[in-house]
Amino acid sequence: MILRRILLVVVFLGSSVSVVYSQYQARTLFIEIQRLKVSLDRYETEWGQLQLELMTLSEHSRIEDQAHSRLNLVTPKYNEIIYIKQ
Amino acid sequence: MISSYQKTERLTGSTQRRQILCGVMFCGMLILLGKAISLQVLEKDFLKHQGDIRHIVDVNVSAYRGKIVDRNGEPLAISTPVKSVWVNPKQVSDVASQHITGLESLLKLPQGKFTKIIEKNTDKHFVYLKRHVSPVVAAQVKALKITGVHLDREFKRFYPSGEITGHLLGFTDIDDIGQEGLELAFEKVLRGVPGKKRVMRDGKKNVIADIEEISSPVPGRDLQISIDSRLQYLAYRELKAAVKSHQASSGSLVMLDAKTGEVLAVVNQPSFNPNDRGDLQGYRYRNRAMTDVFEPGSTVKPFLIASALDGGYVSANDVVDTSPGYYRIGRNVVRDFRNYGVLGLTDILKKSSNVAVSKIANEMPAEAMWGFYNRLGMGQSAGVGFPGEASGTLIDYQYMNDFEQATLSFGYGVSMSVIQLARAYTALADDGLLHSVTLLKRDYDQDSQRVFTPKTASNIRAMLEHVVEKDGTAYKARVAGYSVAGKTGTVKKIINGSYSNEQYLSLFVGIIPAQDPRLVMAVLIDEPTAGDYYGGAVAGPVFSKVMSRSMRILGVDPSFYQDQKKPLVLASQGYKP
Repeated sequence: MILRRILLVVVFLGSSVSVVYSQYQARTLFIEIQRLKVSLDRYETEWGQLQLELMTLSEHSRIEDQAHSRLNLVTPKYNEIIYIKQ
Repeated sequence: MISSYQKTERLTGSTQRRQILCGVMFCGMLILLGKAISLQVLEKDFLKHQGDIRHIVDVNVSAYRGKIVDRNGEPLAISTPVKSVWVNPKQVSDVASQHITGLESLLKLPQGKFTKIIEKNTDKHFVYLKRHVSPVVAAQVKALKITGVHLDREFKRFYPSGEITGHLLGFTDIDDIGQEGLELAFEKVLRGVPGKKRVMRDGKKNVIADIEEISSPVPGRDLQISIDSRLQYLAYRELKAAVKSHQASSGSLVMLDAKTGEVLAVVNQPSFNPNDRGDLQGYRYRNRAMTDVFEPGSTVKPFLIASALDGGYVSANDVVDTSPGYYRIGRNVVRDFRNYGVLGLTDILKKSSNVAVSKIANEMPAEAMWGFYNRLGMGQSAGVGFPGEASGTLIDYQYMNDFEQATLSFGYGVSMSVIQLARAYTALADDGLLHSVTLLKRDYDQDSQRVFTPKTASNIRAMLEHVVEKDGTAYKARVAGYSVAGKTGTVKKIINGSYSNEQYLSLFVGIIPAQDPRLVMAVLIDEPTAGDYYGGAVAGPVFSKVMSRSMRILGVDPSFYQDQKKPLVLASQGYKP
């Protein structure tokens, strides 16, 4: 009888400690999630900015303009084009 | 004695007092207990709920709207996270004046606006100061640390190609809901479902912690469309230049894949920039190529000849006498530009003789001719699913007299949009198969319908190749290195109910390469006023400029050439860019 009671008390104590521990873990993880969400948000914003930058820089009209003015490229006439067998 | 009496007296007094005191204390305890029971047991749910609604709220989490990408995956519309600045007027109290000026200049608000907003909305908890500010500005606002000024995350739509794809994509409103164009047509696909999360707030309603996610935001799906952004850019640039140099009021251009019916480019003038909608006016954001109809004029003549050939009303070697250059039908007269004499079928198209096609049309029963026109999609929408798409009109054969039938043969009495016209030409381009048109990428068209026999379609293309010869109507539409089958149209506009002799539409529709078609393109320039107005002179050069580059971009083998020096083609079989 006494042994059973002692066992119960031990189980009870064990369970309360584990509740406390899992609560603590949940909180730690939650904080971690919050932290990661904040950085995710930051990365998403940065990704958006970079995408816009890339798109602005790779705009067709800009590339064409750069090719003409900076690199002095010209469009070859059709009879100047050589097609090569692959 | 006295003392003993006194003692008893005292004793009795103290007992009573103690009893009273105990009673009072006990009562107090009972009251406290009662209150505790009432708070903890009886009213617990109510009170807890009241407490929660003051501190725990569900807030929306905005969802990402799907991207629109072109056929090669180039982004045409993307949403990026931005911040919206809002204020809770109830929290604002004595902010340093330099902070207010700082905030106003950051958000580009007029001076004093902040104070005005606060004074106007003292009873509110939420007022937007400025929506969609860039992350850089948002960071600076945050650094000011003004109590009551908050930032929310939202998404803003960006259109990297700006006015080039303005009409096609349309735009979204400030809440990211599609308003025009593809953004509206595919709203259900693109739109995300906002999520909800539960947060805890302090007494001042600042969010202090996220409690749980009730539903996570579902991002919208990406949409891949059939447009090739390189061709779209080329088409836009050339159309814009042409509309400007011919001082035209507007212009439209549609380019289709001849084998799949996909729209590769669709552009209009005037256009608008969807990123900057300050100057948005109705006439600017209409996608004319889809929504506006016009009489197609001479561009329908190839269909008439093809119908007559397939119906057995003429044969390939027949000739038509067009002299004396006009043709009387009842009280009406059909005229040619001049007397062309006797013409074969090829020359009818090359010279674009109204008299000849009228005579052929009058050989055909009205119902048969109408049947071909109807099957080519005239009088029915092209079925792209674009908002406001036009269906055009086609007069009913039962009410058609001979003259009306004749006018139909040279493209009056029927109206269609540029996309319908381009679509009808796919029947000539893909050996008699009329394709359905789509703005979504696909490899194969399952809804094509046979209108002409393959032989007739390739015959007509061979005839149309002569149109871009030196003595044809569209020499300027030729493309070096590639054969072109095309037809011009110069249409008198109806002004106040009668045909004008001053205002014209200039049209060109072409198929390239003529022998093994890849692309079909229709160009419309409305009211050119700089001198030229013939379709071949105004719309033809646009075709030539766009196509010579498109062929190179698509890597189409230039094996068909008639003029100039041969390009050195080592091999081009199976060449894929």
